[in-house]
Amino acid sequence: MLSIQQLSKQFESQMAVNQLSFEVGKGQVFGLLGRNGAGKSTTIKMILGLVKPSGGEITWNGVPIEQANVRIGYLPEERGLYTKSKVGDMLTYFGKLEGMGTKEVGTAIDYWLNRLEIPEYKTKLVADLSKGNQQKIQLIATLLHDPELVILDEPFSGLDPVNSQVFAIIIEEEIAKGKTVIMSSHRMDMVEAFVEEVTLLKQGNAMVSGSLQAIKDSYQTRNLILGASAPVTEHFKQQGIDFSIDKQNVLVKVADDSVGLNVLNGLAKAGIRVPEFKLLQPTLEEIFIERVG
Amino acid sequence: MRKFGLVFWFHFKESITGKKALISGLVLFVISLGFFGATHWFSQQEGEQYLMAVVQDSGAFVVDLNTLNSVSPDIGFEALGLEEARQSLESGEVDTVFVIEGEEIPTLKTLSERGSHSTAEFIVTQELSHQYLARVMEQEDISPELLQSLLSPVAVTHETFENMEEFFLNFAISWVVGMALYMVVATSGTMIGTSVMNEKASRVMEVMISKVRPTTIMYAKILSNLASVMVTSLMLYVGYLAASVLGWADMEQLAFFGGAVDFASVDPMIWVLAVAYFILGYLVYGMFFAMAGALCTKVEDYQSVAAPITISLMIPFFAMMWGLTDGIFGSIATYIPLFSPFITFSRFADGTAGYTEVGITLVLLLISILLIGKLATKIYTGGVMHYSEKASFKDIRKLLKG
Repeated sequence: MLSIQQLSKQFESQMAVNQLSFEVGKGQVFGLLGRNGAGKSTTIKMILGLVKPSGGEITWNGVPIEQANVRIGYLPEERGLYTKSKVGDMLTYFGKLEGMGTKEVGTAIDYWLNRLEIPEYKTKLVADLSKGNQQKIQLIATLLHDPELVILDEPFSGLDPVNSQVFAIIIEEEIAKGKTVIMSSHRMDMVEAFVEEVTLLKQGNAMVSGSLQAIKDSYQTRNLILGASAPVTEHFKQQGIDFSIDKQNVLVKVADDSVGLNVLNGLAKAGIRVPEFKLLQPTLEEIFIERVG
Repeated sequence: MRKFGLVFWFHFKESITGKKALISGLVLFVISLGFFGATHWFSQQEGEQYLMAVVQDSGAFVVDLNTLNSVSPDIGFEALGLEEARQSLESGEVDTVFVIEGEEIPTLKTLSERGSHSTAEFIVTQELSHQYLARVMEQEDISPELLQSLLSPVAVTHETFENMEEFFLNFAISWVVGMALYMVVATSGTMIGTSVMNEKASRVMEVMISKVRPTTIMYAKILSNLASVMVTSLMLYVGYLAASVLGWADMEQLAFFGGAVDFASVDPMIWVLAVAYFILGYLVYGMFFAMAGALCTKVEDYQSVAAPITISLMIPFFAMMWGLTDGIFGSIATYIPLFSPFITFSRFADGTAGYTEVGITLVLLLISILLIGKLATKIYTGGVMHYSEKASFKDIRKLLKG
């Protein structure tokens, strides 16, 4: 288990991370979210040992975390690859640095290149690959040595929808294998599909922290979504109900489920037929925007 | 140690198989082969005979051409009339025309395009002097013994406090070591700096530092560059081997400032110190270049940051080359870690510095390498949170604080 307690980092007068605490167990995914400069990367770099904390502690299975006592797989936000090297040579180098033998690393490289459907790139220079394919190589470098702790900083950056889906499947597989995963991303829709626990950071402070479901439950606001075919806009204007038109739907933000049902009752009484509607919890993105801004 | 080996081997392999190394190796091969080829060609040219014309305009003094031609196989003399000799000179058939004149005392006039052939002129004047002396002896009735006594040269003997042969040898070795260190640092220093800078700019350092200690990365990178330059330099030897196969190589043509050098007779302690100063000198400069790379993310910024290091390399090198290792400069430079691999070693080789200076400077070099290595590593590691183009002094202070 990864445990972070009262973690802080101060750069001169600026507090980059302030008293941050969270725990991530085996097979769990933790979402570290926030705008640029919120303290996500600093937190990740402290976990990796790249930046020395000003205070607090980071432990893995109860002992202070260090290279020797945990296999970490790190996918940086920007590509961290030797662009003048051949893909196979560079991955072999990374694998061996993690203690893998020649045969073991060779087998793992072939497995992952085939898994991501790019075996032909093994002998190519990294610089000759597209941004998306470089991201795939970066993911292989992250998972090659079967890490216990996987840290993914903006894993979907530069990927097209198809490759995003491929990445999402691989990440799900790693979670299923019992890996401890920390994920930082601006893609709230993608993160929401994986994370169980989340922290929303703002200027180094945890604005919201805890189970994603509990956070959503704690938000009373619900989204009442009515299909486009419902002729409701005139009724809402007459009743003074705020609404917005989102794509082809009409969206009404309501305080809770009962208020939503009251709105639907009002429509029924007015004789307006509503063929379809949804009463949903707020999305992670909505919570993010509201709390982090 | 395993990780050091892995990092060393990866960077060594990358640099030795890179285009830059392949082109450098090819250039060194061509230079080596070209040198021996040119030397061989010139030595063959030297075998050709230079032709001289002799115009005998004196009735009293007539030189014997057979005598002149027997002196040197490289120089031939033939008797010609003045006009014919002039035409031969203009057409380039002869190098110099010697016109012998005078009836009482012989005089020699030379005609040439850019100056007379000095050896040929010496041969002709010697022959004329002999004839003149024989005539005077006969006229004045001087015995050969008296003449020999009159012409006896003043005996001069040279005595020096130093063994000049040893002095020359030690000067040669300090020159060779200094030149090798300068060339290797000048070549690989930029490679080290830009390699560190590229790792930082491409963010691969973030991945690397989480796998390997930064100090290991630094030392492995610096030493792999040294190994790569050494292997590339082997192409000079391959060039020599190729020249040997072609029959061009003649090691006797190799000379140091005109003199032959027998490196086998060098004091073993000089060799030990040569290796020690070379490796420590390389490491101290390598660390400085690595630190310069860790401060930048763009090549143009790196060049300005690395410029003072390059100047610090040139000062002791040229001071050593020009023999400016004595006096106050030499005494101070002896103890400056960046200068001592050139100055102190040179002074030890020529006998003006002793084991005390050597011991102190080697310790200072070791301390400097460890200290600069620590600073470079700290700046390199601190760089994961600092991606601005070039670090200011304020930034450096921040990086060192961590």
